[in-house]
Amino acid sequence: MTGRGDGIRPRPDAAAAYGAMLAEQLRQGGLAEPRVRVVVADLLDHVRTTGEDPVQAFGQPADYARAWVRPLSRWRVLGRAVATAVGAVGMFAAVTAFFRGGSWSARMSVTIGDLVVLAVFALGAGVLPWTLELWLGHRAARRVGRRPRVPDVVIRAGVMLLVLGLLFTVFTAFDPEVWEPVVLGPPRPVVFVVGMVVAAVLSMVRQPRSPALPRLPGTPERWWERTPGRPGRRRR
Amino acid sequence: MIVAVVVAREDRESQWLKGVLDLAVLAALVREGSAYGYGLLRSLAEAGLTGLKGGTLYPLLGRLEDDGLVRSEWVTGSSGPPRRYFFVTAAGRAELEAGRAGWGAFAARMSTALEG
Repeated sequence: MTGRGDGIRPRPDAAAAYGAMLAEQLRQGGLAEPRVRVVVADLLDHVRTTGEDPVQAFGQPADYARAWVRPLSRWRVLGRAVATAVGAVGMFAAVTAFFRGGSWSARMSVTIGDLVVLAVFALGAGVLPWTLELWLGHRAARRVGRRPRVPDVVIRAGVMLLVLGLLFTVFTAFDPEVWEPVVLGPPRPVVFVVGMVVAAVLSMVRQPRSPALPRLPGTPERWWERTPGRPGRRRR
Repeated sequence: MIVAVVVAREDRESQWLKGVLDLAVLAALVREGSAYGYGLLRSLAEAGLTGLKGGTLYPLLGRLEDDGLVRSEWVTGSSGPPRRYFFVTAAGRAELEAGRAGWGAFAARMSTALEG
């Protein structure tokens, strides 16, 4: 059997950071978590043994991930964004119905303003993670070892300011009476139950950012760690 | 001009290697009996295939395992986390034998075709 390699040892935290980014890319591509653990464990063992820089030995995490999974197509991203938005709206509706005061047999009054808030919430919960956060994750996974010209926090702050500015413009452009008419009056229990059922969609959608370093292969998977994904067949 | 020719030659060798790297890995595993990733790279380097990267080897081993030509086991050593060792299966040995015969015939045909 061959022995340990020589060379300068990379910083363990650098290898772990690379492994976490690789795991995120693999999860995004739909690789099942047990397989993600194996791929990352092989990588960490190789880097630990050889002392090689992970980027030199494996390329950038986003590129190496493509050897295992196909990148997300636009349709899959769109589908996940819609599913996340719908699930978030369901959760919002269920929580609102639960905490609304008064009798459970009463109907809820949904105004135009409520629908606009709901639409904004859906966009924020579904679109931003699957556009901005997805892009930031890809950007980081293509630039390991290189500092980005514009830090993530600046980009996030810029987008938030833009969204808030748009909202402020929309809400101040109309007379307050525009938002007041009631357009729907669903029974409160129905809103709660339907909201809870729809919110369950969230548990079936992988989230775009999941940069946690996976545990060692062979360790039993906890039920809350089970995420939908292909059992491990990769692209050829 | 010279640089372009050298790069083209390297590209060609890279293309050749792509077609038979799985056989070289199976052969290295047969030689070693069992090996982990870096051990395989060293064995391949000793056989003349230098410059291979982990980013090429592990996905290939994964595909060989998916196809049942290789199996792997996690072995816990005296220190450090467990390490994955690879073994050739009976199907892998059969594939290697078939690949050797095929390569021999192909190389002979190419030698004939390339004669001036």
